[in-house]
Amino acid sequence: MAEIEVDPITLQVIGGALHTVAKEMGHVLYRMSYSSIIRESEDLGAGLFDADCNTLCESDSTPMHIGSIPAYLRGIAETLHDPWQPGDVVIHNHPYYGASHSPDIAAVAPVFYEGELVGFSANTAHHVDIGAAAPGLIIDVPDVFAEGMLFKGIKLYEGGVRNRALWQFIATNTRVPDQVLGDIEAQVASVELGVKRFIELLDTYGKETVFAASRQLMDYSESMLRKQIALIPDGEYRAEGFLDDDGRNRGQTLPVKVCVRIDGDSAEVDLTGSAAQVPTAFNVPFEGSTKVACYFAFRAMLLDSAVISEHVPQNEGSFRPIKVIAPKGSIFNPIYPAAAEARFNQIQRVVDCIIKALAPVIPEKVTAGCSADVSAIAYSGIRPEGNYWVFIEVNDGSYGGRPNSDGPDGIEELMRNTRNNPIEDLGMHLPLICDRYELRDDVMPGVGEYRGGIGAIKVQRYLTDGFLTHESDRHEDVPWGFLGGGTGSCGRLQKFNIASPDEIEELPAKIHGLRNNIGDCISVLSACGGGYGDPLARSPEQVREDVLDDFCSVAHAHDAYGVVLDSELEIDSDATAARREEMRAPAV
Amino acid sequence: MSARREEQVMSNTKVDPITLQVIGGALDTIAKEMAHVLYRMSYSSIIRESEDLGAGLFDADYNTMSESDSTPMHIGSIPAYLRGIEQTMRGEWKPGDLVIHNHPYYGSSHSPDIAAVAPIFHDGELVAFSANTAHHVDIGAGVPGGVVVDVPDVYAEGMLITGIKLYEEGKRNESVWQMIETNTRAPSQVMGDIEAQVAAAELGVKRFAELIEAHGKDTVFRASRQLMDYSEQMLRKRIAEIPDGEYTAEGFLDDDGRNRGKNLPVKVTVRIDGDSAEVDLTGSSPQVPTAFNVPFEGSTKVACYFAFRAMLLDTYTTDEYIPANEGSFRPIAVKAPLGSIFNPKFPAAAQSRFAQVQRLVDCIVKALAPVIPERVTAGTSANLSFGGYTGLKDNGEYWVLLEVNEGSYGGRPASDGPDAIDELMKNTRNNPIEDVGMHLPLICDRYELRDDVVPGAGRMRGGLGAIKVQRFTEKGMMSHEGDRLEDVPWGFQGGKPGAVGTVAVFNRATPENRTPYPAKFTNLAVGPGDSLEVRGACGGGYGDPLEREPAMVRDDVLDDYYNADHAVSVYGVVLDTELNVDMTATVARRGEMRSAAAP
Repeated sequence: MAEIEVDPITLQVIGGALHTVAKEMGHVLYRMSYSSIIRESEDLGAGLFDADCNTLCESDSTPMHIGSIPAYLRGIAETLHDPWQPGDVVIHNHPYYGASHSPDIAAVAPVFYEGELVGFSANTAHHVDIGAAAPGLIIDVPDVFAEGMLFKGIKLYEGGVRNRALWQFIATNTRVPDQVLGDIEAQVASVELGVKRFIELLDTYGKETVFAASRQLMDYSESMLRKQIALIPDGEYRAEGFLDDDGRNRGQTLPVKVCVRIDGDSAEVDLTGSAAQVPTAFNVPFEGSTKVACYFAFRAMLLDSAVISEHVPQNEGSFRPIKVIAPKGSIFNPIYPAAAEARFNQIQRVVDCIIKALAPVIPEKVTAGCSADVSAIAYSGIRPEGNYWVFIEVNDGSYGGRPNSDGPDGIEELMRNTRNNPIEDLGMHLPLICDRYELRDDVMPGVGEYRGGIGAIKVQRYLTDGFLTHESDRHEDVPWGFLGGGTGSCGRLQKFNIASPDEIEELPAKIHGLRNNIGDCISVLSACGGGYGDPLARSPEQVREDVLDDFCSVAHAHDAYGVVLDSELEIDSDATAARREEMRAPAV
Repeated sequence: MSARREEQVMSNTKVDPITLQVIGGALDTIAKEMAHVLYRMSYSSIIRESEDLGAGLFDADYNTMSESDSTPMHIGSIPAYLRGIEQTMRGEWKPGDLVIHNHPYYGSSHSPDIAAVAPIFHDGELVAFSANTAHHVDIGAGVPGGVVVDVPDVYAEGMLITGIKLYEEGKRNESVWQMIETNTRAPSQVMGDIEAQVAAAELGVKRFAELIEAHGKDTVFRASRQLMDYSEQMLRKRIAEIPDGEYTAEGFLDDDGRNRGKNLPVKVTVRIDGDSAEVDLTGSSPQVPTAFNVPFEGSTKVACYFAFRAMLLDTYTTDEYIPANEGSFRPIAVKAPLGSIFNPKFPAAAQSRFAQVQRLVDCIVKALAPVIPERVTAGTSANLSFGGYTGLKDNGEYWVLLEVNEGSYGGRPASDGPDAIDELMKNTRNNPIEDVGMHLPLICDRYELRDDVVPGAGRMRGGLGAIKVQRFTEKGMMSHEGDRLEDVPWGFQGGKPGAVGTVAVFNRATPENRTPYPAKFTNLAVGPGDSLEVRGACGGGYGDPLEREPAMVRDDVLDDYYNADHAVSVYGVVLDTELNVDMTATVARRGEMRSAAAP
């Protein structure tokens, strides 16, 4: 078909309009939602897609959601029973049909224009409970059925009419119906808004122009990414790490192996050699999560807004140059019906390993090793009236040192971008109290010219009996240092009762359905990033600042950085120069 | 206005006895025909072969007009489902509707037993319901394989369905249908079985409409009312024969499937007051944190109704035909404190409830035995042995076999306890081992009466449990839901106790390495050659073994139930080398034993 060339100004206007629609959809969704995971943490994604499931635009909420919706749309195309009609809203969450993982339910509305299906308005949101084998989060479950309700191209609205029986079914099968149904309503409102805005856009600029513009924008994003990839020398780059365990078979670590092949302006990520799929839910849906993580890694490294002055719209174009390979039956491409709900730690490590693999050739675009995990924690219990309370929160990690600055402390790294939940909000609504929330003081940050970030420590205390599920990792494989930087520190999970705070029980990173009593405290200590560059090259002033901030002891400044402080904590320049000289001298 | 109230207003005229019998017979036949359609059309062996189902007709006030005589556990549970549907259904009943329901806190027997209910309209008025229940192989629980014990709450039992219209005015809700299909591990079986339930419910609607057509609505409902009153009166008459008073019995269950070694008491108090009875379960175990709880409305009450009907209106001891309807429930009141194992609080899981209701019935029998000895048996195995076998097929779908293993009865007043039989509330047929071997990667290596224990001795001995060994020919998972590995079935009136069951796992290559298992375990991963061996508990004896007919003792020895030494030491029967009874020696031996036993 002969395609019109849209002029640059109209192109920018349409590009901006698309971006705004996605943002507005995201806004409606998190403002209208009931659960704190969506309302406060913004664990959601929203956008517009063309009829071929290409992303026209997406909200910049949580990177994990971005890029996953096309896979949902393809999954829906495979499973939808009746053709799309105006007014339909389909819900979908099946991890073997494109979902990112089952709690992330997509709501999708078709966009009809002049009687023709021209695109989709869609969003995804993380739901608090879909009736899995355990409340909130799950790890040690036998298969995908134990993850709770599975939706496969199901019409929740048909021609504008809600399926009441299905609605009732969902209400009965979640432990927190008020939150889940409220959140689904928010999703429906958000996609309806997207349909409306998209049609307005088509009315204003004409269908041909809008689609021509969106194709041009995709091509533009694609060519921007290809240009950056082409700057990397062709070749094969490898990195590896390992995960603690699968949540059931303790002590059996799971390798993550990444090979990045750069060939001209294309890249391939090959995960062959990584662990075989596991018998728990610690597997990664290939279409909706593994691929999305690889897309993210390249976009984040190569099109970061800090290093690229041009605005590069977030659309399908940035996915095209990247190819992803993971053998069927591996942890990154499990075979149905393996459970695959707890997948975030693994993909964080994929991203971390892609960075590690490419670091030697693009040192100015990478960080040292990040915590590269997730601490997703579900607290739950039963209220006296018999209904559940379920609270899911994501604890912060930390970044590795960067080329020109320290790794940020206590932050959501890599693909996570959820906001933390205000502890005051929590204390008001739930029988939990946060007793401690600060940076770790039991370890030193990864040393380097730019030190690694420090993980946080958070202690939540139960005010009633309840359950705990913790999905995490990185208790064993230390975040890596880069270019002479030191390694960071592993995370920890501890339990104690407030009545006996010295009797601390160390727990593995993955805990499933642990029963807790009143007064029990759960302490999460997040991993700390590695350092970037030689610690002896760190400016003595920065070392002194860290000492003043209690991030570093005087002895550590001396031993690791060769910085000597006097009793007033002022730098002793001569002693420092001498100490550093001595440290640089090759050991005899 | 409901049919009942309308009928009371309209007429008090009695239906003549002949018409009454005709309508009673017709109602009974409709229920039977519904059940027949259901099990003939169904796909899963649990329904098709084991007939784990119930079907019947109910009036607009949810009174049972008739029910199929399939599995006692299903009978009497449907009215509770109907009340649960009333609480949860959105909108009004319309002709052509079909509602499905399985929520254990809204009347269901337990969640795998899904009910299909169709309303019956006459002249635009809702007059009755056609309904059935059937046990489904998999509803997407937290564990595959149908044995769901160690789960944290009712949500982990799988799909919960509350008053959902699967058909609305004749039109199937495709989204709901797809939802169910996506959320079961065995969609081809479950969807086929639901279709069979729909067909059975529709047949009931049609047949009942025909019955009304033939006899007139008033006559049919008046007749059904009279039949209920009749069943009620018959049961009341029998209860009145029991002396007023309080009768108690107790026993204990092995554990809840998680907390090993913690026995759970079952305590039953039966209060007889004139022609009414009350079963009080106060003192039984508090609810447990696993699925080993009993839904009160759909299971606890049903078990109590069953106990009285079985003891007092048994066709063997009652000449008159007593229709199975609501009347037989009315004289019985059931009490269990909220928060106890027999009346758990939402959202406690309550899927695995059969072993408990069996013991409940056994304890009712034991409590009343001293006052109605001629109507009871000694202690039966009174449990469940539910084997779950499962594995993955190449297409990612599971194969699942759920199998109910036999128990045994205690000795009876005038005959021995039957061996290897579904006792008390179980009435499922066994699965032909040939059928299993043909369709599934399982081979049954052994299926016979136990030879490692002797039956409970008595004038009438207890029944022997069976031993069954199922072997996997490829990898899969095995589960078992059961009980009665610790509390021995009781003997009565001088009869000896029976024997507890056993559960063990071994590989065919090393049969000497048997690992004993508790009665409740879920999804043990196994490979080729791995075998599950279940030995059913054996019933207690009835009456003094020294009063057992020497010829019967000899027969038992010839049949290898026990040996000649046991005959001498327990029954005082002396056999010679030809295995003939030595009467003189026997009389002497028995005299000796009696005087030794005397104070």
